[in-house]
Amino acid sequence: MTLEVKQVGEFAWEIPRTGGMRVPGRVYLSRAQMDVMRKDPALQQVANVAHLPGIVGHSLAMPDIHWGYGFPIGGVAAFDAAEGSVSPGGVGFDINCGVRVITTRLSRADVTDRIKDVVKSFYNTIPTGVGKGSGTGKIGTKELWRVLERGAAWAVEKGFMAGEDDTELCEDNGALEGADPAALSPRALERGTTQVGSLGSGNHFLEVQVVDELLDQKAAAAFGLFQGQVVIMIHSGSRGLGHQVCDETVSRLARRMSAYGPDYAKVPDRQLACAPIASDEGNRYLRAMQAAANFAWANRQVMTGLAVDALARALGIGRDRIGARLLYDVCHNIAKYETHEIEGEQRLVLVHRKGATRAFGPGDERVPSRYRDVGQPVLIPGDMGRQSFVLAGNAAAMTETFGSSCHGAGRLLSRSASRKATRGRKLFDEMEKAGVTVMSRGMKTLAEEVPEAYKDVADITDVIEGAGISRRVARLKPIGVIKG
Amino acid sequence: MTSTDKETTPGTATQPLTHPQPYEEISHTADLTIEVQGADPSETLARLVLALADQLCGGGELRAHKEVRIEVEPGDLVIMAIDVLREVLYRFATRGEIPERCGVVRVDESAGTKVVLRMGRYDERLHGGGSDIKAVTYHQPRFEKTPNGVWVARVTLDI
Repeated sequence: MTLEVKQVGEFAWEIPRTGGMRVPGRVYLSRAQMDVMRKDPALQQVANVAHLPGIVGHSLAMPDIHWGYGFPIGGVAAFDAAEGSVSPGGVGFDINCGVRVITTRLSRADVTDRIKDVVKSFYNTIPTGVGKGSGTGKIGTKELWRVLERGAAWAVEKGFMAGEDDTELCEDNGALEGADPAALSPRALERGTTQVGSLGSGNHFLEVQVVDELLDQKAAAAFGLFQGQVVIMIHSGSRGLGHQVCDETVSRLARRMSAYGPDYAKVPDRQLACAPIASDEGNRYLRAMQAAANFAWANRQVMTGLAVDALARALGIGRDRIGARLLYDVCHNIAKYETHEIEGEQRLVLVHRKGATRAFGPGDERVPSRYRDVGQPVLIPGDMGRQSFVLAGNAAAMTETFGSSCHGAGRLLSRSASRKATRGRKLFDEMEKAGVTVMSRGMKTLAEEVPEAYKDVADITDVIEGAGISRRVARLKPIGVIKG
Repeated sequence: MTSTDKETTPGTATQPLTHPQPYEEISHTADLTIEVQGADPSETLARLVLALADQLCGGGELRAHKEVRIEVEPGDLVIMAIDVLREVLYRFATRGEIPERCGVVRVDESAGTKVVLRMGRYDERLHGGGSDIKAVTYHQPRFEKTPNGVWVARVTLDI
């Protein structure tokens, strides 16, 4: 059955309330994108999320929307902090999966001739793929406890850093308040002790990129970006520890949703399992989720330190000549307490972003002071062959999308379709000819992650900019990639 | 939900199945959906476990070195099947173990489910083509008898 969808703006579409939906859905797409999306199950997932107890405003989806499990990928939903619910599936298994960009003083010419050495150095330094250990070596439970409480700051204290001010340049300074390691199970803790500072696999990556085009000079200057600059982008999350937290909570909730009353029993997809924020289960999940988010920040921070060292070694220069500095770190699988204006009132809500990036606009006190005039940096990776973007948050995001933007290109092909389409092709050679040196632990990952498996992120950012939610600051071109 | 290592080899399950078993990979944009068929709930569950195993080992040969029993609490068939898969995935993630054979001792909505697995060990040279699966989801799962009498089970895995 095709859902009713009506256009309410050049790039905005509404799914009217029907049945048990508590709020309408709203999706940001161009007309051409909506023509393709109309029969996609992801739209039904937007409507399904609108059934969850305590949801306010709209059930939203960003232009990189695609079919997920429970929530659509690209979904945003806010819930009243007192009366609403929390849904672990609305955060995802990879809690605080996110992206960071590290800028350098280097220009393209400084690395072009050595790019193979650089990529190899990254690959040999940063654990990738299945069971490849951690960048720190195994840590004890007491140390893990500190990771879970302190997040990025823990890694900085251990010497893993780009610049001196890395933690200030992470959302929430790289640690969520309320994190409680005691809310994690022994199994989750066990998985965390062996994975701090590891990339993982699937769509996670570390890329060497070059600033290919500056699109907003003022914001680019504020972000420290210049034409031809070498930057490093890292995409990873909370690894097995985060997966375990989500897995155990969804499993418990799936067995006892009806205990929270008929509103909870009627949720249309078991993966949308949720609990009242104020319940013991909801509260326990939030404390564990916040700890897992801190683990993810520590994870990306450790890899940052390792990456800067690896780059210095490959180029045979000192860290001081690299001039590494964290531009920003964003999380795109998260639930956070935030105050937003809703129907003219300031309300505290729990914003779930499942494949969506926070994108606060200029003047917001939650944006680091050095970026406050231009808005929060919004880091949007594309595929490994074409381009990624740095954007800045706009004021419209605060009134339209609970301060949220897209998070990536969005998949176009399923993993199996991608493998089929690339069978027999020499993918490493193809990428090399296209100017991108790739090292990947497995051919399967590479086949599933080829550029054509994804939409062009330029089409996604066209819409997000057209809708006024955020604006493009710089286009980044990949030249070296490591994957799991 | 519990799993226990057993040093003794004889299984108590009837008609254990050995990897590989037939299954279908259903197209899903971001993740992976697997579907199996069986003559009864036991065969269906065993095939589901071995389908997950096949994804983890990338079709590579598995050499069993130990036996493991998994018991899950009573629930509907979908929830119990997912619980078994979750335990298999946890053992893979923490110990590198992948089921090579699966015997189902009991699938009973009021008494719970019990399976006996013979486990191989992940070896990157043999199993490097496998998928690094994050989790078993509850997104539109199936475990039911179809009108033509065949049992069908389907789950979506997060990659």
